[in-house]
Amino acid sequence: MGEEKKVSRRDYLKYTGAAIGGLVVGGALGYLLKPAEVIEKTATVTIPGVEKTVTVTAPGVEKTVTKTISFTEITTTPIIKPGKISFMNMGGIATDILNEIVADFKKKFPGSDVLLDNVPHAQGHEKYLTLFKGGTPPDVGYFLDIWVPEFAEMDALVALDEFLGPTEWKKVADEFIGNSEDVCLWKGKHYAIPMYYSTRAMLYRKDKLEEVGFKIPNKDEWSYEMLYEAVKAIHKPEVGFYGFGMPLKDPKHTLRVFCQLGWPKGVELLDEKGKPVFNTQEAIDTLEYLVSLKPYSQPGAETYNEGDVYTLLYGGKLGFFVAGGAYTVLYIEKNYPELRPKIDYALPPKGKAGHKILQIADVLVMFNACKNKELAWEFMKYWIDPDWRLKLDQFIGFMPLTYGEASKPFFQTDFWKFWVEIGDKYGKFFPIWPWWPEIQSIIASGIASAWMGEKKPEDAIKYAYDESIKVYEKWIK
Amino acid sequence: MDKVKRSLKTFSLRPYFFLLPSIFFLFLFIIYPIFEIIYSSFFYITPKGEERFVGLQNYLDLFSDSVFVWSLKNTILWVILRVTLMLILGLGIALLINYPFRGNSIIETILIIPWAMPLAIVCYGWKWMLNGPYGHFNSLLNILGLISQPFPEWLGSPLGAFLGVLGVSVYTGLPFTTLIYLSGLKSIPESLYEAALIDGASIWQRFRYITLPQLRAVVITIILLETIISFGSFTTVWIVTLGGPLHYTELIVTYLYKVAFEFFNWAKAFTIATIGFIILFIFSFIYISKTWRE
Repeated sequence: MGEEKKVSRRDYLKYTGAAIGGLVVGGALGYLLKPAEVIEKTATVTIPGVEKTVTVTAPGVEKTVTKTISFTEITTTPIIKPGKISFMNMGGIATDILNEIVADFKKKFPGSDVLLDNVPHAQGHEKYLTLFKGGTPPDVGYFLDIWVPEFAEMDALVALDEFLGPTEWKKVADEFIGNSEDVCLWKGKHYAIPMYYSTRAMLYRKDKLEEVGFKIPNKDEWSYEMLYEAVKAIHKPEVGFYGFGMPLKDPKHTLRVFCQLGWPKGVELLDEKGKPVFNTQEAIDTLEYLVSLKPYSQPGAETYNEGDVYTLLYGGKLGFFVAGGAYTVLYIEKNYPELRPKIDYALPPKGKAGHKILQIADVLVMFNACKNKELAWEFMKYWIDPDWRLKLDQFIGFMPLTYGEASKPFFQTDFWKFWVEIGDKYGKFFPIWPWWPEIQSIIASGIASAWMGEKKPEDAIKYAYDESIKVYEKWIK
Repeated sequence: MDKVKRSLKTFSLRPYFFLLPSIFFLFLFIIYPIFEIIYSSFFYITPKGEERFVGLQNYLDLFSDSVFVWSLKNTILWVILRVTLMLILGLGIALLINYPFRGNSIIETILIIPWAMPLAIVCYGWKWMLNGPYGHFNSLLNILGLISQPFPEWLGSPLGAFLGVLGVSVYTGLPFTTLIYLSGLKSIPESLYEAALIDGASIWQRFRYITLPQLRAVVITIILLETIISFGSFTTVWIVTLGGPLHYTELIVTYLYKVAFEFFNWAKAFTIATIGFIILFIFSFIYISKTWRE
């Protein structure tokens, strides 16, 4: 044991004074060296009279700019930390433009990067589901609209309202052609932003109709009888040419045709609460009509998905397909130029409910597991930027998503105007409910059973309705 | 008593200690998931993962589902037909290859090709070969003057689809069965055939009284293994027909996949998986007990 060292009162005072002095000096230095908070903030400014939103990032931006221009709205976004985000693309769509977006993104947010991954469309749902359940979903994903409620119900997705307030959503939503905003909503919250948009109409071989002397009506004047007569007239199975293309392999493709023919007749599949309501005479009539086209369809429609039907069309073996869109026409123009002059497009037949056409929207979502949501959101914003949108849509051949984009010179052609207009006027989306995939499969089974002659159309509809109600009740419970 | 004492004396924990890592992983990756699936089949599961105990309700619901019952019947028929075809064709090809003639090694190599190629590629190839307007099969039949336009869509009719996908499955699985048969044939002592020849036995008699009895163990192994494999034939059916047309080629495994990953009905998927597991477990148990006895 050593001798205890005594500390004098003077020493106490000396050490305490030094400590307090040190704290004061340190605090002062810290205060002086601290960067001004405003420096790293981003101000989004909307200038009245000028329909452009300017995003400025500069030191002291708030003070300087407020004095010179009067703003209607100023919103500040939080500091965006650089980092890595992952993006899951589907079907390898627009990879070239995607690389450009990533390059631009990296320039805009130094130190950040985007890890790109891709999954085929057919495996998308399973891939997302397993990635999510495995705890490793991508930060941002390319989704089909019908998956949104299902994943939102699982708390897998970020409600994007936190990034765009109600006012901003309104502005963005008003810009979308054909209410694309609807497919992003689940229980009043926005879980997605529209990414790509297309409308489906009816593609047909006008040269074959002319050959048989069929009087082709105007684009919006086709009736159910005309379609039937036209299909019948050009069906030539002995040379491998079929009047009507029907996909029965994949339920969603089957439903695309069924809805295109059923909606104008007044068929509704689910009501506003998601309850099946298709046990109607209109649904039976539609199925009867569809089955009446079977003798003029390609054999073995049960083995065809939409892509296979397109293959028939591209191969010059198909007369009519009522689920083709602008993209298909452009695809033919690019890859089968000799076929393009022979093909025309029109609205599907008009029924008592008027014209109705199927709209399909692919959407962009952010997963809850995302670590840097602000950065991910900045990445997602590329898909609502009019200039980038134009690039993407031009590259892929998709329709414009917003009115702003549609007003660009590129879309001022009769071709594009037709597709934009029909989407705007007559567009209708598939029901967006978590139980829709299962109900869709049941309805498709009913359609297939009637098509194959296993059930009468009324029995098939009844079967599909009864089974669908069971699914609905199970979910509701 | 002495025996017990002696065995207690020689008992050592050391081997069990060394086995611990394997046992741990076995439990983690095989036993635990099986019990988790069986346990979960007694619950109703919401999309958020919340569970509510429902007893046997999922099982009752499942057996009132016409598609499941249909897929169960299909699976039984599929297993019986596939295993029978494997047994007969495998034996035929093995006997042919086993016969010493010039070039049998080439046939042996060719036989391996469908097995050596990735299953998905083989299935896609067959799917297109059986396609109506574009398939090679129809082109060939057309050249031979057996069919004319409109070409039949083989996978479009219920029977055609079932037989078509069964054919593809047998085609891809046959090399494996043949190789097992071959190994069995090669292990039969030549002296037995020589003795039979001296006794004046015909080819059929040699096959009936020597080859077949000697292959008994191999046949049982093939039956059990192929039953297990046939039961889980997912890839072939999924790629070639997707379970269609109208569930005519739907097997339990394809329906399970749809229920889980397309309809997102976890409880139902767990219930189907449990039933599938029980059926497979019976066959696996027979197989394991048989191989242990031998």
